[in-house]
Amino acid sequence: MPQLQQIDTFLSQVVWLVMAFVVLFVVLRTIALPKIQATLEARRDRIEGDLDRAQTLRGEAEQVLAEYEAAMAGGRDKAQSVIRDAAEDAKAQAATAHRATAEKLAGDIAGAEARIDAARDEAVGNIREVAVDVVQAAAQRLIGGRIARKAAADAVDAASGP
Amino acid sequence: MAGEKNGPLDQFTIKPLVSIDIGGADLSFTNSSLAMLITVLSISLFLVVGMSRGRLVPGRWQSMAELSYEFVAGLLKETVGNEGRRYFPWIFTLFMFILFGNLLGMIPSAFTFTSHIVVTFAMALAVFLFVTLLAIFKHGIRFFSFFVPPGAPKLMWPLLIPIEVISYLSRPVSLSVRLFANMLAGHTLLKVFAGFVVALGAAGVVPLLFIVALTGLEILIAFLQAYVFTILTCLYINDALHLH
Repeated sequence: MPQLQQIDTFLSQVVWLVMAFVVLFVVLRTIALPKIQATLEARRDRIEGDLDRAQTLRGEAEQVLAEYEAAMAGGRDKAQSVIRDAAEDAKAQAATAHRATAEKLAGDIAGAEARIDAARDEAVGNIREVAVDVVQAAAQRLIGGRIARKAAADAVDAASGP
Repeated sequence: MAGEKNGPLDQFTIKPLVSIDIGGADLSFTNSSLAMLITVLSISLFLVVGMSRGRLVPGRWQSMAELSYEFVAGLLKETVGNEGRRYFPWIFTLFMFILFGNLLGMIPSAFTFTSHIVVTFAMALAVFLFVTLLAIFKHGIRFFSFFVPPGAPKLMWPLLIPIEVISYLSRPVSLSVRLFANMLAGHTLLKVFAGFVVALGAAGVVPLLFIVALTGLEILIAFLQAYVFTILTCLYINDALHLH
C-alpha cells in the first residue's frame, strides 16, 4: 500500500498540505467569506427593511381608516342634528302659523257674532216699532181715535213680555 | 501487491512531478500536491467567482456558494453555539478542503489526496492539538476533570479515567483513519471492479453497472466524510469550550 510504503514522501505531503490549507484559508478569510457575509447581511437587511416599511404603511393605512371612520361618524351626527333642527324649526313655524290662524279665526267669529247680535237687536227693535205702528193703526181702526204712541209702546212691551 | 503496476492500489502512488530538495529534505511537488493545488483553486474559483456579483436574488452558482456557507455556519451553530463563530473560517476551510479533495478525486484518473493516511492524520492531529490547547487555555487545570465521567462513583475512577484518556487520545486516530479508509476502500473497490469489466468481456457489463452505482455511492461518501470530519471537529471544539 503506497500510503504506508512511500514514507519518504510524507514530509512533502504534509508540507504541501499545510501550504495549500493556509493559502486556502487566507483566500477564504480575506476575499470569499467577507463577500458572502456582506451579501447575506445585505439581503437580510433588505428583507427586514421591507418588512418594517410594510409595517409602517399598514399602521398609516389603519390610521387613515380610523380618521375616515371618525369623519364619517361626525358627518352622520352633524347631518342628524341638522335634520333634527330643521324638523323642530318646521314644527315651531307650523305651531306659530296655526296659532295665528286660530286667533284670526276666533276674532272673525267674535266679530261676526257681534254683528249678528247687533242685526238681531236692530231687527227686534224694528219689529217693536212696527208693532207699535200696528197697535196704533189697529186702535185707530177699532176705536176710531188715536192712542198715544207711548201707550201703544207700553201695550206692545206688555204683550211681548220679558 | 503494493507497488504492483496497474494494480488496484497503484492509483495511490505518489509520483514526484517537480523534484524539490531543501536542505536534504524531499519537498517535491507531487501528484498529491497538484491535487491539493487544484482543490484550492477550485474552491477559490467556486466561491469568489460565484459571489462576484453578490446579487440580492442569487443565481444558481451564487446560491450554491451561499448554501455551502450557511451549511457550515448552521453546523457550527448547532454543535457549538454562538461561541463557535470565531472558529468559523477555520471550520469552513476544513470542510471545503476535504469536500473538494474528495469530490475532485472522483474524476477518473485524478488523484485523491485524502486517501493518504499521512494527510488525514496531519489534519486530524492539527484539530486534536488545537482543541486540546484551546481547552487547556480556557479551563487551565480544570481541563483534566474532563477525564472524570460526571456522576461516576469514586471507586470506579481508576478504571474509568484510563478509558477516558485512551478514548481522548484515540480521537486523532479515529478521525484520520475514518476519512482515509473510506477513500481508500471506495477507490480500490472501483479499480477492482473496473478490472473485472475488462476481464469478463461481454459479461463485464454487470460490474460496469455496479461501478456506475458505486460511483454514485462514492460521491455521497465524499460528501458524507467531509461532513463527518467537520462535525466531529465542531463537537471536539464544543467539548473544549464546555468540557462536559
